Amino acid sequence: MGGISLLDRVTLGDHVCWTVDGDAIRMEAIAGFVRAGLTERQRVMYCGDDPAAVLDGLERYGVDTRAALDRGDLTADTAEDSYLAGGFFDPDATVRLWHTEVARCRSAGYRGMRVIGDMTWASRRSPGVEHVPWYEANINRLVFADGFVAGVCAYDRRRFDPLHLRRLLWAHPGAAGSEMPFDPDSSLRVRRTLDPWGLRLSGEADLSNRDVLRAVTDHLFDDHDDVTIDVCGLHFADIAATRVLVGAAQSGDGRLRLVGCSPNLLRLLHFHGAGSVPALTTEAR
Amino acid sequence: MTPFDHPGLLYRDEDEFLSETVPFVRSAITAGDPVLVALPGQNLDLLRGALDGAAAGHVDFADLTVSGRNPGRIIPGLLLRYAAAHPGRRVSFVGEPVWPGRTTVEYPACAAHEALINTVFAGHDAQILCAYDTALLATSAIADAWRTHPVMIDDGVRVPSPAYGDPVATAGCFNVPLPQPPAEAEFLTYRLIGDLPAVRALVRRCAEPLLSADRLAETILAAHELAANTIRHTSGPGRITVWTEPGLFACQVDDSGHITDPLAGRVPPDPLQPSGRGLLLVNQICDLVRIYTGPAGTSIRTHVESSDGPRPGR
Repeated sequence: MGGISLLDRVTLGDHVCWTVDGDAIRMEAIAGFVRAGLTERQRVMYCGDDPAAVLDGLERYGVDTRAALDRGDLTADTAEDSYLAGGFFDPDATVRLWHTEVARCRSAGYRGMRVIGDMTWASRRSPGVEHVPWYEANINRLVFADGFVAGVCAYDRRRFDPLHLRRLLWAHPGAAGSEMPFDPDSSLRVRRTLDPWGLRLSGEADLSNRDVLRAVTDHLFDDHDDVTIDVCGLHFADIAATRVLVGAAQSGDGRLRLVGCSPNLLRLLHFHGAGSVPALTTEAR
Repeated sequence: MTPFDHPGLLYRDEDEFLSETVPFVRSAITAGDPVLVALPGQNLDLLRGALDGAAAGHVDFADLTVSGRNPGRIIPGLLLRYAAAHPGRRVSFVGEPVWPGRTTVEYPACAAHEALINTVFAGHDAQILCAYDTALLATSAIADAWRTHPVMIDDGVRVPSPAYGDPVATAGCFNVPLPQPPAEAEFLTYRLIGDLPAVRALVRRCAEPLLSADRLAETILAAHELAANTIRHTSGPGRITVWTEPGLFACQVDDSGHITDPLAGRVPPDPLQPSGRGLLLVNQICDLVRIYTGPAGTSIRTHVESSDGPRPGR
């Protein structure tokens, strides 16, 4: 498997957990991801260990880093200057950092923003690292749902406890690994919609991204108490995902309309007592 | 409240069948109780025809070869659902889950179902009359009917069954190994949640030529939930094997888990309980669910029949 193709199908709005175990493939895939972003007039940011080595690597793979850095199309910062800017990991401050960068990108006319986060810092004993799982689950709604940012979080398999890594994986709607390219068809895509107010879900919602769905639906009614979730593009939903959807409507925080339900999803919703939840309406595809 | 009654009716021919079932249904109607007649097509028509129109109007009918094709679905999908729809009433059922034509793969699931009815309905205000065709069924199936019914109606006479024993233990006798999947069946080992898309892709590839789009989607969901149960409830890997037989898609999931609840998948869990619905859903979707479980591991085989496939049974 060539490294480049691993991240080829990542587009704006995607948030991918990339488990890495080899440096060569890692560099090749990063270069592909950066090059695609620059071609598409997006701003590309690398945050993590050893930015100088990453820039060298990008050069080796034919990215003109000097020009991109000069234009401001590319930035490369250490974890200490990004995630850990306050001397410790503060998830709220990190979200604010992304919001600031998004605003700057938009006003500078970029068509989107790509972030590669080398998460190795989270394997060290940095203060605040315990907030990383919450952060990873909640940036889905706070940063990615607007569809302007694509994020790839690189977790080095050799640096993280496998069980912890698995939990982090569940907080990402998409995944990639050294022999597994990111596949949007088997990932969950979550996009915000304004009219009607709500979300559009597509791809597959299952155990693997249940934490994403829960983090998103936990705050479903923060701004509106009438919310529509368009599930037309959802090819697959399992018991775990259905329970999260029904649970959101049961919260009593607002009214939820699910539109575009497949026959299978309707059956699952019924199976979980959707018919007896007054705040939930379902519409067939 | 009249206690739960679960008689097995042995019949040799239509006359014997009707001479017990018609009075059973009529007395329930007279008492004003809801009655569900759930029989394979031929006996369903026979009994419906024998009840006059006015009486039949008070009875609910279901073709058991459809709604009870999977014996694991009869308790949650038919019996408990019907009872829940008539709260505070004595409910009566006429059934024939062990109809002639059940295959050897299906049979243990049918017999276990008959035994577990006693456990599920203990204390319920209900009566369930189960018909057995002595002319066509194997003698071993008739012997099992004596083990799974506290009373039998034999030759028109109601007698307590001397062979009836603890229903959970009896059901355990039908917890028997599954036949080997065919040698050419495709299989996949899975361990992590991230392997589930590959499980779904395997089922899709194998079942797609046989099933309609909606049925295929349900079949993929059922296999996914079985594999998800392995990942949630066991520490080891699981193995899914898929193949087709004439008119059906077959899937077997093997893992190191042990299902200790004999009623798993047959009784809806408390609505507040977060898990335990996987097997219930699988029972609802599939046309057969056979489970062989013990401390050494669990094998679950499911069948999903194609809509134009053969439907053995009458």
